[in-house]
Amino acid sequence: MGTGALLVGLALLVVTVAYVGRPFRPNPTREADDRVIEGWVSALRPAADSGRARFCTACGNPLAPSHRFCPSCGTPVVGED
Amino acid sequence: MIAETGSLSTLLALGAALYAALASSWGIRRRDSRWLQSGRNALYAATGLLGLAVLLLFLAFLSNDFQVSYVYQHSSLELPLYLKATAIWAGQEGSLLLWSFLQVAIAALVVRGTSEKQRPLTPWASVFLAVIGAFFVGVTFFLQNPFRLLPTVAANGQGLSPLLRHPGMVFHPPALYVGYVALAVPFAFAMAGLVTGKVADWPAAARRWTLTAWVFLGLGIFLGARWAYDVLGWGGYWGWDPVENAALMPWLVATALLHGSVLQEERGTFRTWNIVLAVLSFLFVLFGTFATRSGLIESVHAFGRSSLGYYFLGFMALTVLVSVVLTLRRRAALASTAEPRGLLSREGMFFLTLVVLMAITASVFIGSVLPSLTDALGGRRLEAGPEWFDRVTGPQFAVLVLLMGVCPLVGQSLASLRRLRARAVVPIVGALVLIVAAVITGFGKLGSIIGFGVVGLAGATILMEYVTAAASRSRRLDESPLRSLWHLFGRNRRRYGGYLVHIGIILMAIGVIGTRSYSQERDLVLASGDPASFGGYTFVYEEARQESAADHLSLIGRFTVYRDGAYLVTLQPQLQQYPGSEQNVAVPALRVSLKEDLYVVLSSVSGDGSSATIRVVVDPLVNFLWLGGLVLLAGGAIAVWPSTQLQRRTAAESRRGMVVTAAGLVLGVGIFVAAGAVMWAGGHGASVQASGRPLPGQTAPGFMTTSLDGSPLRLSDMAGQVVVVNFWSTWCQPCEDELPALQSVWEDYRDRGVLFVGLASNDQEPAVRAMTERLGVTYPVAMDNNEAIASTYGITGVPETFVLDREGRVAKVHIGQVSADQLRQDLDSLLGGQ
Amino acid sequence: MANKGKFLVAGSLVVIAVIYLMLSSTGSSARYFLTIDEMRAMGADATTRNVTVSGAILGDTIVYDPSGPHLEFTIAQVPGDPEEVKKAGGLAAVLDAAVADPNAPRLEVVYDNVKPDALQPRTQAILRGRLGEDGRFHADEILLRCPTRYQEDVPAQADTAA
Repeated sequence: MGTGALLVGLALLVVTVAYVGRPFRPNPTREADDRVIEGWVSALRPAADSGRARFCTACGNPLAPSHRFCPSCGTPVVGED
Repeated sequence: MIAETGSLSTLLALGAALYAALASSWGIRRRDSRWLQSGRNALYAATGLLGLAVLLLFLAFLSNDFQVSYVYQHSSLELPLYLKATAIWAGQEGSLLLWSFLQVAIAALVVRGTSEKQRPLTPWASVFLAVIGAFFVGVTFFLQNPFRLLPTVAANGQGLSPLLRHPGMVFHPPALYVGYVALAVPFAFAMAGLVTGKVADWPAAARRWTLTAWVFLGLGIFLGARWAYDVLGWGGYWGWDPVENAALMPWLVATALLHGSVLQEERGTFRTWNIVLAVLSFLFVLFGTFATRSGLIESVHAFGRSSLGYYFLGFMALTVLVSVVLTLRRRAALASTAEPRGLLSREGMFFLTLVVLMAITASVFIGSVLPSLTDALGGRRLEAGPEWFDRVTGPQFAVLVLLMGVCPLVGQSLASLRRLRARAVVPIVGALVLIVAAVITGFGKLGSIIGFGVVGLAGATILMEYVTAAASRSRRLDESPLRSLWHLFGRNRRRYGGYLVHIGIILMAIGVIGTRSYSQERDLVLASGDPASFGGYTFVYEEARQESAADHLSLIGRFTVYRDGAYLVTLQPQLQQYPGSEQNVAVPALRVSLKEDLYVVLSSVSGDGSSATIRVVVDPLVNFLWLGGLVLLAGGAIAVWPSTQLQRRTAAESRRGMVVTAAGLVLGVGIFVAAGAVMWAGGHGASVQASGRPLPGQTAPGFMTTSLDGSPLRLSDMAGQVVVVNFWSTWCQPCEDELPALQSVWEDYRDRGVLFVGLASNDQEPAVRAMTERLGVTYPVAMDNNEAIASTYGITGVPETFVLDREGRVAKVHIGQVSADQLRQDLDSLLGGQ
Repeated sequence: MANKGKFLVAGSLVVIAVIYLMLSSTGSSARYFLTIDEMRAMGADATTRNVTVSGAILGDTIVYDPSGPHLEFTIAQVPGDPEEVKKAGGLAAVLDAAVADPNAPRLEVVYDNVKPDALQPRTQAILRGRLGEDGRFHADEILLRCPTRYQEDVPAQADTAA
């Protein structure tokens, strides 16, 4: 493998890691479509008031309103409160 | 350097795709937006890296980097630039790289989805899409790396397979790949629906993607059929080859999924169906790749039997496992909320449509694997040819078209029989009209009559649907009917675009009936100047010539075609020979008309050029197929067009929306006009002259002129004698060579009632006089000024010699130089025993 | 629930009709895919229905008359089972062995059509047609597969060569 290719590959790696890791920086710059992601997160929280069935976010097992832990996999039920 | 960077870029993309799957699922579990963002960024990064890899592969082709094995195998120095771009997907490795790129790119597009319905499903869908993408990237990198290097550098590559050197190759494979990768989206949304338990909403969330996949897959299949028709030279467009079937099956399932989705959105029914259909359509994409790569399917195409197939088999097994487990866990939620209405309802019709579509898919599947299947069952190996597929799927397609016609009649549900009776008049009239039209124009076979009836019925129903809807809107809103029709498309794109798709299918059905039951073909061996007839056409072989292009030699045959004794067209089919490939490519010549295409392929030309063998195919109604395909795709495009009604917009946004819509409209119309022009405007080796030669047996056109010595020369004066008319020019060497032969024959026969006339075409009088004097020509010679006579005789060059019998009819035509012996033979036979 | 039953019945009717279509078409239009031996073993049956037979082309037997056009050649038996071909070292080796073996079953083939370009010695010919009363095979269609191309990976061609 040539040194040139190796260097270019390394540069690509650095850029990729930097880009992928950007949301974890202490003061992430907000992007326009981060609103979309916030939308996802709120959509992931089961609506507490709705009569809809709730499901465990880890394994998808249906949850009763009283459940604090998933009876199937034990994941704590979060986002309720 | 290029290749190594490409490899590294692919490897990084694999890492990014895997990370995206992990980060997104972790983010979902923790409901942490940072992880979700990071996963999304990883998908963007993977898309960029694979885009870079594709670009680098293209660069390797451009720079003729023959150390790269893939470039060596599929390119050469002489290859034209646009073909170097298409060579990217000419082989397995490159097409997999392109596939991976598109697969990841579509995942990146999906995560941008913002609609209310998509929001709760997108995170999980992105996980599934990232896994699928990673699988393809992994297969590309580890098993089929297009950047693999050869130990030595070759001076030149092996060149692109001649069959792929066609402009159709620019669009056909990428269109198919876009269709394939997009079918992963409804699958991913279905799985996301199962995981999150929101099984009701996923079809609506995935709908645009399903439609997009369907349109592109349809486009790919359509372009492939047209490419086969244009290039493969067998006069057909669909041979039920396993490779074609591999593209057809997912398309059929996607069609079913689109219909099932409509009902789920409307009434909440067909939930299980839709899950199964989404999984199946994705499975058939994998199956097609698996089957054609693993040797499971016997195909006429040359397939490498690589281990690749088994990785696909494994991935299919995983897909089945995951979807079955998820479906079983959600079976309670999948139960329909609504009780199905009766069979004679919109629901019932859709149900039957789905059943028939799946039955067709199953038939095609069984036909494709029949050799392996019968082998496994321990019997004799049986294989299904085109007749088998035609016989099995033909009636099913007919039922499908019938359902298309009946469904709008039934409406939401059939309240009463009287309603049906009231609405059935137009369709029945439509069926009768089409049957009568078919019989009158000569398509009266019993089987096809049934087909035309069904087609007419369905067509009339759909047209009625448009008319009544437009009319009622026009009445209600006091608009012009045309404006109403326009608004119908604007308001309910899916519905009316869908009807347009149905009209396309109906047009295609006409083409299919025509080509499947009325097509004729035959091989003709033609000696120069001797006419032969087939299918109502008469063919005359004129000449063959050779031309060289940048990367190939073309042998071009020239044939004049007559119908009912009248000149019709001149066809010039080609036989292209590519150095370094034993495969010749026959480029057919086409005479296109709405009633039928005349399709002529040059098979061979004898060594001395005196005779040629052609294959003639008459394809009735085939243009309805192409037209229907265009209409179908236009309908699909309308249905997939983003609706502007739903979103409230500011004035600036709506202005921008208008601009985008207008630009899209112009672009779309432009594409369709271009496609139509490619298919139906000139080219295809057909050209029309002012007139053709009179055929043997026809009366020769009269002429009246003055010979060089001043005496009048009238054909009508020569009645009762055998006349030899020779068209020539002083600047033409063969003409000069044959003059002494003509003179000597004339001298021998002049006393037996034979007249010779020389007509100097496109020439100067002094030169003609000089040459006739020098060569001692004593029979009358006249100037054919402005080729006035030559054009009535339809000659295509000099010399040409017509031998006319005593009644003034053409007995024999010699195109090119004639020998004394040939002329003597002709004259002897005309003069009989004298 | 009554409607569900109706749906089931209608669906099953369609499925049964299609199965019937497939079975009847398999009886009449599907072709047996045979080796030379197997076809001979069928006896008179092979003369009455369409079959597909494959074999290796013997180069020195090719006689072509372009004016007909009329083509004659002889093929030698190759194993029909892909596994067997694999075991014997690939298609090229199998074709070579078949051509070299004087005891391999052979079959004379007649084809009244233009000679395909790829019809070369030691290619595998897949022939569709029927066995004539004269013991020769009258082919309607010839498909050819040459070993070099076969071993190469050229699937995109396959992808597109519809």
